[in-house]
Amino acid sequence: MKTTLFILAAFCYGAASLRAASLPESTKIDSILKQEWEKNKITPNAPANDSVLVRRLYLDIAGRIPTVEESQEFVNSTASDKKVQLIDKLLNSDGYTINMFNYWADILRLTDNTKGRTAAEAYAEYVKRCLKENKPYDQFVRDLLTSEGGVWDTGAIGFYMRDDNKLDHLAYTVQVFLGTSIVCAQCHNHPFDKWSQKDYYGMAAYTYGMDTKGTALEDTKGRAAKNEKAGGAAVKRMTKEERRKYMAEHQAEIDKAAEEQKRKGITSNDIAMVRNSLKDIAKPLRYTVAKWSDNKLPTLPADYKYPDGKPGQAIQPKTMFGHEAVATEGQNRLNAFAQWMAAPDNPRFTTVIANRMWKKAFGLGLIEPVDEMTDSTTPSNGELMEYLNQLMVEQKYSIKNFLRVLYNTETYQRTATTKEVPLGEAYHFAGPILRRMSAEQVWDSMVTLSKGVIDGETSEENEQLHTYLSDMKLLVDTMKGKGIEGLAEIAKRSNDGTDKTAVLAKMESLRKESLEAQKAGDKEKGRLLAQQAEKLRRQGANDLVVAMIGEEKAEDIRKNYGGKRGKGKGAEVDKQALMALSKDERKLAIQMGTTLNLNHRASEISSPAKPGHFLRTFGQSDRELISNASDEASVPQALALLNGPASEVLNNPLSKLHQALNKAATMDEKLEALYLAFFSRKPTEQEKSVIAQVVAERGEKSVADVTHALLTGSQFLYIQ
Amino acid sequence: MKDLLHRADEATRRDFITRTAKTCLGVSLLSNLAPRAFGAPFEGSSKVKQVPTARNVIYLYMSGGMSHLDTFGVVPGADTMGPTQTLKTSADGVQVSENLPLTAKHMHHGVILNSMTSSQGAHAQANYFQHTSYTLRGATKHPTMGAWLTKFQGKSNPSLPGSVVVTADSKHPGGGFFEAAVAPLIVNNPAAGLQNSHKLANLSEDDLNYRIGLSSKLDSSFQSAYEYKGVKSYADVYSEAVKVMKSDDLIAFDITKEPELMHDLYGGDSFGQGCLLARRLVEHGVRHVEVTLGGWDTHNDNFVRVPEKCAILDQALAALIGDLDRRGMLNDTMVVLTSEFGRTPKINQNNGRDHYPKAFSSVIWGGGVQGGQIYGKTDKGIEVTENKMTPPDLNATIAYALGLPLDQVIYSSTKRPFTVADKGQPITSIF
Repeated sequence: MKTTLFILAAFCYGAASLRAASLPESTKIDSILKQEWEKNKITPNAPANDSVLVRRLYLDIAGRIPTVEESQEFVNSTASDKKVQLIDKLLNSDGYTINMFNYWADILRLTDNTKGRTAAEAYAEYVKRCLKENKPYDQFVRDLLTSEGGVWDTGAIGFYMRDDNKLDHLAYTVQVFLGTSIVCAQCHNHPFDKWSQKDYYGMAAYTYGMDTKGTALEDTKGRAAKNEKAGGAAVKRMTKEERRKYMAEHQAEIDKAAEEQKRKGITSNDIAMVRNSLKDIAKPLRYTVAKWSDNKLPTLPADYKYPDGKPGQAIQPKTMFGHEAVATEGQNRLNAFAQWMAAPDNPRFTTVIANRMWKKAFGLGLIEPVDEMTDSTTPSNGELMEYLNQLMVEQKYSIKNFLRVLYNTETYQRTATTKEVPLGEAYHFAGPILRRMSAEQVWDSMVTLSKGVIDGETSEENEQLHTYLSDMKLLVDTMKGKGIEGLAEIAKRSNDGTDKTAVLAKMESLRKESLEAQKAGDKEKGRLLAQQAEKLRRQGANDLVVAMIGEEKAEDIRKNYGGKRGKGKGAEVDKQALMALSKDERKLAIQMGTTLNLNHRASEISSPAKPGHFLRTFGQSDRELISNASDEASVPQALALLNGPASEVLNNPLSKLHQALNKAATMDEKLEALYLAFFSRKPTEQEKSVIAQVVAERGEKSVADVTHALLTGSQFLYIQ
Repeated sequence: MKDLLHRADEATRRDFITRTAKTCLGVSLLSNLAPRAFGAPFEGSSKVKQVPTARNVIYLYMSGGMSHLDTFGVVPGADTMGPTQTLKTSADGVQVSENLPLTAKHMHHGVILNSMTSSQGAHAQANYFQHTSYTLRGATKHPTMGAWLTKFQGKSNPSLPGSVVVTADSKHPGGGFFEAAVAPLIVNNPAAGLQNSHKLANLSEDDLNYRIGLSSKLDSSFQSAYEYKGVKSYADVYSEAVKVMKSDDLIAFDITKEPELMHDLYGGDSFGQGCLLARRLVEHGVRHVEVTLGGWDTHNDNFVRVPEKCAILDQALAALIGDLDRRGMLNDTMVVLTSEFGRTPKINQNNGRDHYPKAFSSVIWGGGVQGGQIYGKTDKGIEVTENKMTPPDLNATIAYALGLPLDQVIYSSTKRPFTVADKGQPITSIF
């Protein structure tokens, strides 16, 4: 223990002190904890010095290590309120948005690997915007729960688009926002908690009416369905009684439309052809709409085995705790549910977010795990939990304000506890605990070493996405306006007005010939004919879209939305530095830039990164389960840092780190600069002596050696 | 005496490894040394237990929904076949489609399972069901067969992962809710082998060793300042990483070590290379390898695209089975070919076939099955008329061949009970 203390002392060069916390709320937290320490005879950790604190604050708030300039500006500042200032500056930076986005992406399971790529990206952008605006958390949750419409209306529909199965989605929702695991009760009464399967269905009834499987073309199709026979998707989803009623009410209308159709000379064949042509467009238009229907309720499953209900029985909404969520005038049950969920009087809503944020700052929750609360759950410090709940409500669910209070506590600003808190043992928060960086923090810190500060890139809206979405909206509106008969009429004519019946007939006959050729054994001929038929179909579909929204927009839609991540504005290549290189060096530099592309922060590349990507190797969540990120060490991580291109990228002439080292005149200065870049501090005496030996032994190689050695040490990966 | 010393040595080694249980290649060495006990078996152990007939599995997954009628589930002369013709094979009375001429020569080793049926008709759901025996729902991610195998039986080669998946799909369920230690290692590019396992080209052996030594020297004060498991395990994984780099078995991942002839035999595309890698890995003691071939979602121009896909499949598959046979490995290596579902017997207006989970086919070669037979029947590929079987049944059959306990319950972190093939029943009659 003595040696530990000694070494710690060696780390904490320079004086460190705690000023009285500047915010009364922070002082309040410190005083609650002080009682806890006294009661348990605990000495709080020593105050952290400026170097430790500045690195921790940047990582905790902005999600990356500070640059040398940033850390030294803080360390060298003599302002008495410099900590308050830095915390405010970081909370208002784009780095905060990025860091919080990564945090929520893991909890909300934001992924590009869903069916609607546009919805996924619009959702991610929406979450970023809410974080940047610091939208109050309760409002954020209510908006997610109640948003409907097209992806061009709001990215918030991504919340529902994430899961096809609305029963599953409800379990996620309750776990994320109410910290309660009810998933077991989906199939049977909960074995370890009080929830019954019927409770589950009662909760699910609130959100069950949200349909995300439809397409934006549904209304168009629906109209066609009415004209032919009542069989369209909208009608299909109705209950038997509804359908009967609908048919009776609309019979006259349906007959009339059919007559109209006849008069115009549009056959069902024409309509089938339009559908066929629209296939190409229908694809990007799928999974773009969330539609609420008030009368859809879940029914108990076929194997329901409890006496309180029968299989197939429709279940009315009922809250699992607290008061009932009753819709007031002008509200639907979804609004009522959202109101019930995100309210201070909901018994768990506030506790969950307050506890989550506490854990985010201190590394451990007052309640662990954060999302498996039961009636018997007690926080490790009841008074503190109660105060944090009160604080969250007082701050009107402003996450930034809440975090500002936590970061300004003396407790947060103490050194990290040097001994791991054993699982299940109460921790009295003598200071924050030591944490490994998240995968995103590791990546973003490497980006910082290599490219400097590129926080701002996320503030750019995804223009490509928005252009695409507005084109899509125009297309949908036009199609809805024309109806399927209108479209059939357009389809029959070329854009120059000539009749296309012959072309369409040609397409049909090509198809038949192709099949015949294949049957006769002439594969090659069959293939060629099939290609020609497909070409005509594509041409027809394209003409139709051009007729509706014009050449240019049609081109955009046709290309489909490829996704922008990683292609947007990132760090610029330093052209000047590139020019200064020899040909070979330049080649190597460009190659390095592509093998480990440190041009974008983690939040701006695909979500999640592909398996095998550096981020995934370091434990980035696969975004399939809630909070699925890992901070465990693994051999592939070690291999990635030992043998991957990371060390070369940092030693590359284009890297900011390399350039900074080049500016340093002596070897000692270079190595000092390295320590400042990696750890925001100068080397200790002991480290200096090791380094002196390296310089003696390795000469010119020392810088690359020490860089690689620091990169592959555990220290770099931790937030002290 | 030497033996005792050796054992004592092992104990410390085990202590060391226990601490880093989850650290090695996503797979720990622990399972190899620790007793093979994982929770108490449920009462009334399975009636269907046998001496394992298969030691290894190579699982070929046809992603997108492979058309059964145009591959293995042929019904000669049926109108549902469209233009696809059939071929006689090396097994009496067994036919396959004309798209698989090379594979046809190996059907005396294979059993075509023609009566598969699934409840899942969408890609993600059906793929997940086929891989895990459980439907995609709720907050549980279920493990796949390779992970179950490692969980139950440990690894056979401590310096290699227990199972490997060669795929570009980032949604593979992998190890599910199991600890990272038993999760399969995902390889994106079979030609690239194990990522980052070789030192940087412009770094000499001595330079690297110097840096590794320097790193631990410079890290030592941090290491001793913080008593955290995670901190310590970083020191451990670096020494493990160095071991891996120096391991002789690393060449298992390196298909460039194969003669050109082999590359030509398997085919130069990613699937062929994946199959070649699979054979190498199995040879070196990786017991479960999955290789994916995508692109089977033939809603359009089925009769053009299926033959194209089959050309790739046929070459690699025939090469793999022939190669395993020649090396005497086919007896205890089971090659399984499956897909999430089949495709509609009715040909749509774009000369395509749509999703069809109601009836489809899988095939098993080697690993103890009685080759040269067809199990189950369909009515022109439309309805299963005999010996209906589901994805859990297929998984149960694989697990049965591997000697895994079908009724042994393992609890997820959400404290829910699961078994290797859910309620699937093994098809014992094919062995």
